[in-house]
Amino acid sequence: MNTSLFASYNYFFDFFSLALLSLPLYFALPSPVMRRWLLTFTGMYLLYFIAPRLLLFYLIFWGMTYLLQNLVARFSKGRFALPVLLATILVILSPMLLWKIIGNDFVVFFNLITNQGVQILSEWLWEVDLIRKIIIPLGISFAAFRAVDLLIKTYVGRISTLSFDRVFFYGFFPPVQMVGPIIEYEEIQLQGDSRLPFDPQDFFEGCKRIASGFFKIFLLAYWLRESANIFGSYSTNHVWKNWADLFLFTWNFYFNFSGYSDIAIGSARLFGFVLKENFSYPYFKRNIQEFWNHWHMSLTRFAQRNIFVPLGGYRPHTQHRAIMATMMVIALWHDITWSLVLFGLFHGIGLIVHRLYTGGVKRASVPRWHDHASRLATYLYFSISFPLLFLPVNKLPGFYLSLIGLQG
Amino acid sequence: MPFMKPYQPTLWGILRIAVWACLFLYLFGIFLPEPQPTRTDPVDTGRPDVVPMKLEEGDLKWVRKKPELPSNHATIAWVGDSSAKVSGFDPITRTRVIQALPTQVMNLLDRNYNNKLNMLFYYTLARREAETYALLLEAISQKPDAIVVTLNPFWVYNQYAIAQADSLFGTTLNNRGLNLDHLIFSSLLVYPRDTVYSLVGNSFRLFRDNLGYHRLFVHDASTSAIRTSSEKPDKLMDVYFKYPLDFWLDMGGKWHGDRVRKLMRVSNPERAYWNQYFLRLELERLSESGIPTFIYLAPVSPELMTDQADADGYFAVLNALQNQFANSPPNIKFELRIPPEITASIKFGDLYHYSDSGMLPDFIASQIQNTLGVNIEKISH
Repeated sequence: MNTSLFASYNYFFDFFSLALLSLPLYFALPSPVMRRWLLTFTGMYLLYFIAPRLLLFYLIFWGMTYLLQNLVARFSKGRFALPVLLATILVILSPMLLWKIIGNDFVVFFNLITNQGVQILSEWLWEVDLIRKIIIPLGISFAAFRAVDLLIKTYVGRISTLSFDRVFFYGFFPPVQMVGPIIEYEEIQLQGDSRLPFDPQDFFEGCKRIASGFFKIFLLAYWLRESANIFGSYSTNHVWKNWADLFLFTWNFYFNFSGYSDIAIGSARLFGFVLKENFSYPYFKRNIQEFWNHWHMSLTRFAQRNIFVPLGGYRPHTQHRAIMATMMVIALWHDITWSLVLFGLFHGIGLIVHRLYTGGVKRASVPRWHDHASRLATYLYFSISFPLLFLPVNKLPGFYLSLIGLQG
Repeated sequence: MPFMKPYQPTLWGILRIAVWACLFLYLFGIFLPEPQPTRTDPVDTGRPDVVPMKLEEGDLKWVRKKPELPSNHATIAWVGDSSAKVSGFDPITRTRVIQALPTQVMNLLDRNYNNKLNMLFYYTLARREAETYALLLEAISQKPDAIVVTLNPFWVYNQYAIAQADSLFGTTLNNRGLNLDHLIFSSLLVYPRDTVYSLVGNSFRLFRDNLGYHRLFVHDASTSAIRTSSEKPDKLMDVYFKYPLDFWLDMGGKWHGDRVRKLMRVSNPERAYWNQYFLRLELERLSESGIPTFIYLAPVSPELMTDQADADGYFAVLNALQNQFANSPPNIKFELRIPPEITASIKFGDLYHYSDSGMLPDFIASQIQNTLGVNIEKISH
């Protein structure tokens, strides 16, 4: 997985600082349009503080999304509809794909070209941009999938063509610019189109959720932080330490990831937006299908809507192909590496085997020991695949051998 | 739990929670143990009356409080960067300082002022003009009898380096008054979180002494919590992620001398809008304060002049400064061209760091003594 030196918590600290002004102002504004623009400008301003070049990139990205959505709507009926949709999706995904395939060279290109763009617009902002850190295209994986979701929903007629300000509102919605969940437009549509008054209940729930996120990140994940060294030290560790660190690291990763989701969901709730959940106790599920329905749920929902169903996931003769394609998209969303191809295959096979075993039918009741054993087995199955998210393929044999005491 | 009613918040209820939270934080600050005092930037002054003022990176207070100094002593504030230090210091590896230039100057002034001078040394490495302005505000706020400002020819008009990205100079702006300039400055350069931290920090010790408490309780939570992978990024990119200047000027891995030469070549005084703006603000604030001020451009090694492009860059900076300071107020004395015999006496470790400051301390001491006329009356009582 790509590592980033960007600290998401600083993004949220900036957001909360601005919220001291923007939250009362939001509820004081008389029209939904003004409210949408307030949140849009807040999102833009937050990107500006990461780097003006990142803001410029996203202005172009979401401007392009607006144009492409119109293009998809215009060609939605007729024989060119599908090719147009696929072409627009490719355009939207291209920055993310280039970054994941080319890596550092793309980062260099991305920073140079966007910085030059800022210079053309304003020398003052260009000088500010020069003191900001070199960045990877932060948030692009989330933004790209949100944009693709918008295009596909326009194509199938679930969403009518959005106005410019609505696309920007969706694109720059501050809580989810840098972290998950990958929201759908409908999640913010109702509140975004209304002028509901301030609800203390929402505010309270939002605060609780944010506190829960910080608790997970700065206490629980921090407490388990040493386990993150496992992929650097496995060759010298005792086999039991490797197992222990592997399990602890799965929790460290979960607390970090779900903690940020909590903060994002809570931040949106402060403004009255109720976002769908992103994690729901995934390590306590009875089978791998349940696991994937409760781990990074927004990504799973995206893949189910846009990959699994269109490829015939509910038809007997095409379901296995659809499962494999869905898991491959979920895996490669993280990064495009051979390890992640193996991760997709591993979980695709797991889901297919599970489906063959159960016949797709949920069992009504099972003995308690069976229930516990299932949960443990599911967690173990995921934990064993966990190194695939982090290690390059050439280091995998060494790592797995170290788990059975044959390395080091 | 079935016997507990779920809490139904009201606006008034939320306000009450906020008030109680503030009260709790305030009391928490009172009863918490005193944290370790944070360190100042690494500068060895060697004298208790030459006081380093800038606190280490990450401390929300940014500069330390005024130390308790005898009231019958005169105070000089010196806003300097690495060129205000002498010898033995490698700015890249941050190894030990041998002596600070202000210390050498104070050693000379002792004779004439009967050891009744104090120096507040606002020192920071690779100081950019945004920091110069903010440190100058801090220096002025201490109401010193005189101010010395060292300008660095490599940074003063450098468009590529108007501020250090993680600087906390928002603290200074919050404390030193709200005006249109500070609003522009803050809204475009200061992270919103820093503005709020520093505002909150004025009332809550828990925030004000953030770094001390951070060390006491948490150590290095921030970075470890986020970097979950042990996989190291590519080395060159790692440098670039940390030091954007190396990336923009393609300087990764280059020798220090080549790096600063490049800095000089890319300095474009005519288009350095932010730096011009900062310099204008510095002059305005100094003019308002009326404090006698000596500003000098740090001498550079004659080696810089061996390359025509570098020499052109240097003279462009010099000319721009002369133009900008042309109508400066009477309380400010500029010395943009240090006399050649002074420069000739200096031994340079590189292009602008000194291994032997030669007659430079004498020159600065004489400027403080003669030109600024530091309050002799105050000292003699």
